[in-house]
Amino acid sequence: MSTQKSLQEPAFLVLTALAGGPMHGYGLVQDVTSISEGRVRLHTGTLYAVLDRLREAGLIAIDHEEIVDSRLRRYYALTGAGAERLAAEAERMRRNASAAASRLRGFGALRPQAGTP
Amino acid sequence: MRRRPAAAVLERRYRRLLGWYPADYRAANGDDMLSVALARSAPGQRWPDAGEAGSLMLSGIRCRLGAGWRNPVRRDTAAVLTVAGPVLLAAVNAQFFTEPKGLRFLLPGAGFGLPVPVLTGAIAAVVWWTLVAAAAMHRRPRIAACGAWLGLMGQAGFLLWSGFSWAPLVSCLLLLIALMTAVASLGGIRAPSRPLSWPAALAVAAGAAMIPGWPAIEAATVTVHESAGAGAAAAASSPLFGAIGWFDDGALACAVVVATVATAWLRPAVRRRVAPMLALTLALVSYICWQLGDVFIWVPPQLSPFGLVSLVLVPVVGIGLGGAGVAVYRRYVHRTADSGSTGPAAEIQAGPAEQ
Repeated sequence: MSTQKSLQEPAFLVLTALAGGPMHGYGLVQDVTSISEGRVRLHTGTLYAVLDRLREAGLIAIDHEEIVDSRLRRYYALTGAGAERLAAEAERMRRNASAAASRLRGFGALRPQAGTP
Repeated sequence: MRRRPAAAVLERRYRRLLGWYPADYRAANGDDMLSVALARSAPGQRWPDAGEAGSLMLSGIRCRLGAGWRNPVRRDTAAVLTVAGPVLLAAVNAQFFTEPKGLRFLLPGAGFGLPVPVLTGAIAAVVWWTLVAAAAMHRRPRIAACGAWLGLMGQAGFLLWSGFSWAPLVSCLLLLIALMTAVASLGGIRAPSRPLSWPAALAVAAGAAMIPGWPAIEAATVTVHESAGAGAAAAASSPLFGAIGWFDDGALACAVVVATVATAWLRPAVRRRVAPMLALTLALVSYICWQLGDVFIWVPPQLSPFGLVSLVLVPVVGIGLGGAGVAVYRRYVHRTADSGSTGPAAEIQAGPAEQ
């Protein structure tokens, strides 16, 4: 049994966004909103807290920096460890979802649907 | 009057919000954060929105609180103290009931001894602090931190329960060591590896065991004499009573020596921070042990000239002997390293952090 702590949703979504390639801070905010279908909107403070934790854990790294419209843009990239961790987390969630779906099928077969007499 | 452009005003206000972060963090990430915050804003916006402002303030505070522990040397130092502190607290609490004057539960006729709640509390404290040290050594830093804070509350609770009437100075000093341990345990959470090697932890535990060990030997030789007069308290005697002061000093000096030797296993940067804190803690423990006899009979603790000399002399002698031992050991290590051996040389160079 794995003893690794599961990732929190913002961290999972940031890793998922970076799995598509290196991305800067604002790009991550937009991509996370898009992946979560608008459910998760990262504020700047939250985003950098998540990025710090992921960097400390070695799951992401700074890729490069550039200046756009006289403003700094720092790009972050997924590391090998980050990719493995994301894959493990996705697999764990898939197994959980599969178990839930399987139980719900049984539940649906036993119970009459809402509204039926 | 000409109005400043909204973007400039908004940028200034965001910069002010970034002031909630520590300066070094701002220097490293401030510009990048500012560009994200400004990119999120709507055209013409002059004020940061409430959610963004709250997020920056909260994250900044959290960052400031955790800033001290980002330094790996501080983290490792804290992790070492999360083991050493509880071990010493367990030792001092054990001395409460290994001391001959604490033996009421074995000698019901004696007119001295610990009140039963104090005795129970001391036993509970020994078990508790030992478990906290074990959790820290077994790399369960969160459990150790919870235990350390609960232990601190327990020590404070005892002081309040007793209304500062039973051994107030000793209880306050124990509370101080518990507070240091609890604060250190927060840093220990972030330490990536086991704080001490097992031989070093064993050395700390052996040094601490000497603190209650000698009084326990003395207590084993105590004889209680029934008093002649009715209502008078029983008296106790021991052939070791005359020598106890010197043996106590000797035991504490040994504890200091062993603890000093234990720090030799640490990385130099960590050792430099751990050594003074451990020395301070040992000095407090020594003081507590010396005063234990006096506080039992409700006399305010006072240092006699002899006690004052001992309080200075014993740690100086202890640290001197420990330092000499470490120097000899290092010479031996270098000699074996030169001769190509992989024994203690490799061990001391790798240190506990690499385990």
